[in-house]
Amino acid sequence: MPWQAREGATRMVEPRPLFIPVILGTVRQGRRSAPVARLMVSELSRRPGIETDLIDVARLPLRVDDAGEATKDPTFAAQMNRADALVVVSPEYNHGYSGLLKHVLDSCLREYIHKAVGVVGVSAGPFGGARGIQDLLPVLRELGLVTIFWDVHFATVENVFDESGVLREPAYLPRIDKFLKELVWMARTLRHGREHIVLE
Amino acid sequence: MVANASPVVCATCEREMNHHAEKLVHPTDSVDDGYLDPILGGIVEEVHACPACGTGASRRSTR
Repeated sequence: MPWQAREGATRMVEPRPLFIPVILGTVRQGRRSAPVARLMVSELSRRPGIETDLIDVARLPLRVDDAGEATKDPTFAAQMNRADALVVVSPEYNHGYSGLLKHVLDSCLREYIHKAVGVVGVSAGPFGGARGIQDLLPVLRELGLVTIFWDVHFATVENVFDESGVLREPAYLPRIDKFLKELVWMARTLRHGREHIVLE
Repeated sequence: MVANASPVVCATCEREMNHHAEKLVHPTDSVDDGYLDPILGGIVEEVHACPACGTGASRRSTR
């Protein structure tokens, strides 16, 4: 069903759904970011007019004997080309983001330009991946992505989900809602710009 | 340099695409040397999107 603005607002009907995949940015064994990424996919899927997918960097067949666009995977590039926005789930490793996440992101460039991105930080400690997010933001900017001003921070993540990956702390849901509302607004706005506003 | 006067046409639906961005890039391949803009210090990549289906495309700028 096409998305429509509420009564009285500027009415806008999307001709096709927004595609907002979630990138799970770690390959670590026993990674606590996996239930976070699945939760983000679930919350996106509940929204009308949005299609999503989970992109697990551990499953991408990127070579590691080269770097940048030389390593481009056709399937990942097609997903990035189709995407209107990205959610990046980024655990904090030694105050930074994971090296393989950077390797994967660097494999594309033009596919990202004028598309929205939001970052979800994850950590075992109390800061919810905030330091890793701060390091990642300038990278995303250079790739041509447009960062939003909401993040979600999963601190002491081992306490947030139970053993089967079910969310134990419902307080995260309104935070995710604010994050996704901003991301979707930005995705719609940037899609309109990409497709209809000419660079002068 | 010769300007890119011709529009980019969508490979999917054959509609004229919208030129919405130009990004400075620094390829390492010498085959791109002819596109180097000495003032900007790199190569300008034009980015286009189809207003009908959303498909993206890019090409080296010659402006």
